Amino acid sequence: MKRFEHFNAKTIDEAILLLEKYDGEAKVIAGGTDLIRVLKDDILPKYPKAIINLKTIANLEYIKEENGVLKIGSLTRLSDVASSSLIKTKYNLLSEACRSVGTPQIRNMGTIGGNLCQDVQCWYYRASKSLGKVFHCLRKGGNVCYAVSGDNRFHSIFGGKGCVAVCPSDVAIALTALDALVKTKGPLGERVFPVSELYKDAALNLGRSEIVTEIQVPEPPPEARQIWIKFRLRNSLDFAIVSVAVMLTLEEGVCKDVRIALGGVAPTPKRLKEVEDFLKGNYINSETAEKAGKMAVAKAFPLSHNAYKIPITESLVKRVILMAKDHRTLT
Amino acid sequence: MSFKIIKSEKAEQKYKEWKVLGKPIPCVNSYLKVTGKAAFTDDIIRPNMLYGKILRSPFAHAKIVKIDASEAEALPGVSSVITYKDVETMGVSQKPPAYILTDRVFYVGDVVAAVAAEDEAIAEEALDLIKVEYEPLPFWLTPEEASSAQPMHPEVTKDNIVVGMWPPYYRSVGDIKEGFKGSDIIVDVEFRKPNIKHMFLENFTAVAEWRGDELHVWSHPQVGAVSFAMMLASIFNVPTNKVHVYQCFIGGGFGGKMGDAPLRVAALAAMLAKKSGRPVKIRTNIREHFVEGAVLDPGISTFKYKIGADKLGNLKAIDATVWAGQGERSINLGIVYCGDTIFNTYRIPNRSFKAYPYYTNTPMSQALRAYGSQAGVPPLEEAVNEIAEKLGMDPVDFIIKNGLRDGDIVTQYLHNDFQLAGGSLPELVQKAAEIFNWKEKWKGWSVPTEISGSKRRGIGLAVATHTAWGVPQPDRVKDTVIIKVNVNDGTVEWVTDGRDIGSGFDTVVSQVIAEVLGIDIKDIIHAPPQSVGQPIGGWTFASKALQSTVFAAYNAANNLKRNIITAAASILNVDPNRLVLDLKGTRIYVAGDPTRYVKLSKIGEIYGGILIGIGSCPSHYEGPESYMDPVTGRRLGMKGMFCSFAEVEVDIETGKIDVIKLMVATQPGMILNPLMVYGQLIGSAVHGMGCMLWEGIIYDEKTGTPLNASFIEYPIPTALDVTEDQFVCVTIVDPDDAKLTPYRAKGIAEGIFAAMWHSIHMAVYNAIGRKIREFPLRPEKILRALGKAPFPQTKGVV
Ligand SMILES: Cc1cc2nc3c(=O)[nH]c(=O)nc-3n(C[C@H](O)[C@H](O)[C@H](O)COP(=O)(O)OP(=O)(O)OC[C@H]3O[C@@H](n4cnc5c(N)ncnc54)[C@H](O)[C@@H]3O)c2cc1C
Repeated sequence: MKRFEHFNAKTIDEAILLLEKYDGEAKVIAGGTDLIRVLKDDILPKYPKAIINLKTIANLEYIKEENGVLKIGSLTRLSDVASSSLIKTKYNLLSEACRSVGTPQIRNMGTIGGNLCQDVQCWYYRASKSLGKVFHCLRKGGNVCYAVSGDNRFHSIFGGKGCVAVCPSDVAIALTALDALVKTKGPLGERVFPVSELYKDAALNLGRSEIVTEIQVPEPPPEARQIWIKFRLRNSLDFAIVSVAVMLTLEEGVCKDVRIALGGVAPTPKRLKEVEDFLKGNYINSETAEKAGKMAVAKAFPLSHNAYKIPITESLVKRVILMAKDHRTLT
Repeated sequence: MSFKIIKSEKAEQKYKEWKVLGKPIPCVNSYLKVTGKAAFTDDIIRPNMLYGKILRSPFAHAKIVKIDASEAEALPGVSSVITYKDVETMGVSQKPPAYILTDRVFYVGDVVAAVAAEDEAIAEEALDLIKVEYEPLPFWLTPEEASSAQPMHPEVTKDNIVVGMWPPYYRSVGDIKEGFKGSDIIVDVEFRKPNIKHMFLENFTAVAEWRGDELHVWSHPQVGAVSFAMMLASIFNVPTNKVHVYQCFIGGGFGGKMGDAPLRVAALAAMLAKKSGRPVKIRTNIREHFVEGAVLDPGISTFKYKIGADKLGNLKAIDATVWAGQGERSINLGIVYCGDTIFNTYRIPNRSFKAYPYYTNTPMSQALRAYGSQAGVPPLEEAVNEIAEKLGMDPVDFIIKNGLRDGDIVTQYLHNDFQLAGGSLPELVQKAAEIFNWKEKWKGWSVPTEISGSKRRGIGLAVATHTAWGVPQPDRVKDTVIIKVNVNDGTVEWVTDGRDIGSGFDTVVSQVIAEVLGIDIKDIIHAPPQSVGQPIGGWTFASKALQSTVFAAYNAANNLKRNIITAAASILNVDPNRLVLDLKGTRIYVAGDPTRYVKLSKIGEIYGGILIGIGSCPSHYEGPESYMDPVTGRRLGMKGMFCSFAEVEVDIETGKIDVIKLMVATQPGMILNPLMVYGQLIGSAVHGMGCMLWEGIIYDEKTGTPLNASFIEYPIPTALDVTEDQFVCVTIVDPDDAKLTPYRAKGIAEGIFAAMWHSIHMAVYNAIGRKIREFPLRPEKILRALGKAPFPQTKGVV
């Protein structure tokens, strides 16, 4: 790592002020599990001059329910989210997604805010200076996405505006299916918007000096069934090749409400609105589930190395729906 | 977990005779290691020390046209910068093709320059200030490309065949033409493998310090400290006795910490230290592990095997060729030992083996959990399986018919043939198959054993043989052990020129000494190796410690004991056979009459104040008469015998493979420490599993950059990926299987890897009925084989 100034912010406002002062040349740090890697690999187009520690801000680590809304402070650790009994009982999808992140060490250090704001895993973007070769890609202000013409087996099958790296956060996928919102604060004040909108083309949808402060999750109907499924190489630790989050409410076998979000396949969490519309009002059985799987990938256009994600996605969507129907959990 | 130790009567008898050997004694260093007290190289801090960082090449092949380090040198806090220009001025002697710094770079990440500064942050900033102008040259990654490319090292060779100790290599026994003529069935198999990395936890690190013309280096080489000192002495052109190498604890090696990469990092630190006039530490990171360190030899390879058998399933002939991308240099031992696999796994009367090692633009290739046998096993087993399948034979029966067994002649590369003394694949496979319940599970070739929804189960097995007592070594690395007894309290220290790389070396050698000297293992320590004043030998590699270091320790301890007893006998005037050595009690007494004794200190005085024992290991080929078979008059030798069984479940919708059960079996001779044997078997097997399922370097084909260069992107198995209850270890213990070592034990940690990976490969084939003639078997390959999604053939094979 190179040299930088380090500040322990006492309040959110102080952190914002410092970010403003450094005008895009500072980064905030929470658990540091991703940022330290980014700094060690020296992948940012400009090495940050300052690092602003958020962990010294009081009262950003909490899990509470207020007026039918679950509120999680952005500095809450993933392990605490995963093990919270409130979340396990009512928002199990989130609990499962958090538990599938990284390793116990990563979950003990990593925060939910940091997970949502982590940098993409694209191996061209991440190629480290200490390895010799750096790719000045589109995401870094260059003109080319090297993955498009390179090895893109872990990249988007639903395109992307230039950059085809996928949203790396498991938590974002689960939160998308839960219709969760993210609350931020910046120099212009506070914003609240859907988690899925945090991701946009080749960047995070955050202002330079904007900080994620809270995650808000509306309470799902008690009868809703929530399933998280994450396909990866190893069962122990790996980013998702494909992940699916589903929330399904049935009434006598008929789908009353459903929300499905896909991860690992697109630059943002991908809600399957068309599939949801098809399922709503239909019986959930192996035929409709299979059709849903097919619909999920109907618009996919794979790159040179990632067509294999299509059958995987198709199969997982089908399974997740049937698992939700049968109240089965992950096997 | 299940660890089955099946002992013969002879083995039971031996165990009864032993007090320390055969017992589950935990690693002697485990306490230091788990409490973080063990001193690894990175723990070394010298007064006034600087930190070094390495500038690496963005090109896979290029000439450095211009290099200007003046801005970097001017950065406050920077002490020195070295480039290839400094090599000459420092009197460092360089001989191609083993460069430390030169005006060419041969792969992405090759060393261009290095900086020493007050801290790592400054050093890293300085790297950005070094201006380099490159002239990019064409590069290639595969042997196919190499064969038609311009020569990479035109100064030493006109083509791209690696000039090393061994040029393109051909060996044959019998007459393959005749063999194929006599075959009823002939199959051709083509197989490919990727570049595989060692992935140990401790990255390459070195500290170097000059004290006048003395060079002091702290490092973690797998070669001995003395050998390492000799290499440094020749690089810096200084006398070997002025190079002090301190061999620190080693955080894993698997062959990747043999000479080259630790040597280059140490040499760079020493060059910076020389130029700065201050000690320098270089510690590389995980990314650099991929470009500083070697890959498995053979590297990216294509195997073409033709094999024939008669109707009854007797193998008749094999014609095997390997083409490998060996990286920027290689000593090619791995590729040629693929030949040993072909020659010494099955009884095939007519054999031919050809190897084409090519220069390619990747780091060098080197041993990884042994040389050769692993890479040679999957294509050989694939070919043999195809024959068995065509004949409709159960693979167990096929191995029983054709497998290598006790008394067979082993054909070795570089060394004389020998007659196998102990161990037999047919016997091993037969017993292991019973334990695995093979006959009940087996449903035939390419038939799943179970189907449930989209899941298909399959079983597979594979065998391997591997050196089990080291390669016969040239004299300079003959093992020596020196044991010293402290006369004041009877504690013992021993030293050899080698260090534990995690295989239990320190523990087992200490057990041997404890057994001979009749003391508790707690009263023994292995003195940290340090080149000056120490004997040479004792590298930790090639499954040899159990044979050669144990042999040397056994001799040293017995010599020591004999000297003490002889002296005591003459003082007490009794028959030496009546004396008991009581080191703990610091005395030697007459059996049955402890009042008649001599103090240890008295014996010490007789020997000039010091009690030491020295022992070395005879090389295989100058060994005692017992190395000869009295009937055939042939020289005897040993091999490790391994087999592995796997049961997997493949999801044909997603291409995911789940391992259900793994079983390994071997004939280790006697087990000197069951904890070590179990640990080594499971470690080796899981390593093999990881390579078959997931591992391999993925390259960006346009630039030759390794893309998955970290523990996140290069997936190795963790403890959660195969749990202990999925794993069965079987050892069939009989001293006659390892006749040539003092305690009748042989190495087991390398060969299991080889058997394991192919057993998984076969199990997957039987589950899905598709042949995938390469690995790793990632989901993209499975789905491609099932016709569910296209996936291109990549240059890296992964
Ligand atoms: C080995 C490994 C495996 C992993 N596996 C997975 C996985 O399977 N699934 C998965 O989803 N993730 C995975 N991750 C990523 C991991 O979840 C993230 O590193 C972690 O959640 C980040 O949290 P943090 O608090 O450490 O963030 P930091 O590293 O501190 O920050 C990450 C980024 O977010 C920014 N940031 C942090 N907090 C805020 C905030 N409140 N507002 C605005 N910006 C902020 C930082 O500036 C930085 O750019 C893995 C990481 C590792 C190292």
